Amino acid sequence: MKPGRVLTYVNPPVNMHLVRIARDQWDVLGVLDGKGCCQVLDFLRQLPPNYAAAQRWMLQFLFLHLPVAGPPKHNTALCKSLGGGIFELRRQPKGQKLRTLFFYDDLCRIVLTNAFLKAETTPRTEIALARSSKKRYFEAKFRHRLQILKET
Amino acid sequence: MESLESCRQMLEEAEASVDYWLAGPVTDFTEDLCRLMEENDISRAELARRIGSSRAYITKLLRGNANYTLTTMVKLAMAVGGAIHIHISDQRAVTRWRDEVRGRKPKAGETTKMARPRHEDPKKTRVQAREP
Repeated sequence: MKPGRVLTYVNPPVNMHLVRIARDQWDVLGVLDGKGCCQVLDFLRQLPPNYAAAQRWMLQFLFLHLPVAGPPKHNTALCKSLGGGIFELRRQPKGQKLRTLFFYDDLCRIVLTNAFLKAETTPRTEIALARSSKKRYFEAKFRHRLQILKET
Repeated sequence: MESLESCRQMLEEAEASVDYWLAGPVTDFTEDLCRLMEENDISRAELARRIGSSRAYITKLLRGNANYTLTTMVKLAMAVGGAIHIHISDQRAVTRWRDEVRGRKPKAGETTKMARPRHEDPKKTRVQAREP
């Protein structure tokens, strides 16, 4: 028996970290970057005061509504598919277009990838970022290398 | 985690604002409206015609930006063949609706309305409910 080989299996490196934002019927997770920061939460937290209404709405939606009822399935004005398994939560009071991208996993898990403010079109870089996060997530999940930080 | 705690704190501070309490009911209402529109094959233009308003108003309403009256809500519900039910609960409660069509016997364990305090462990609730 080769001890070095056994150790490799015992301690597989975690290559994707997530934070549990809320959990009820639905499990709402946020992707963490290399520094352990959640882009979605940081972005919402740092929104300027003139986006206060959109910020409150999105926070209320992510923390309270989403875990209980899940994303809206019928109303495309609030939740829309962007293709490739990526969806966006939409909020635009008075022309302030706030978006949060996410994807589904299993039956009742939502993984939030990134949030941003948009003008006319959704930036391709944001969609590419969400797709890359999705790919990394499923690769990490397949290899049992996901780590979910518990709620504090 | 700092950002998670900070967001929770912001959420607690936002509890005093009307926007905070508006997000849930507006989302539920627009979602139900869209569901019934799909089921009954009603377009936005047709819905606007039925309630005597413009298509732009329906779009604004579905985005959650319109501040509509109870009368408008009832009109919209009637236009898609539905009815409005309003319920005021404890602020910490999570309410789940389940429709029950008249004349049909409810299935075992089925109730019309369930509410339990938010952040409460459902397992504990069930255990407490069984106790005499």
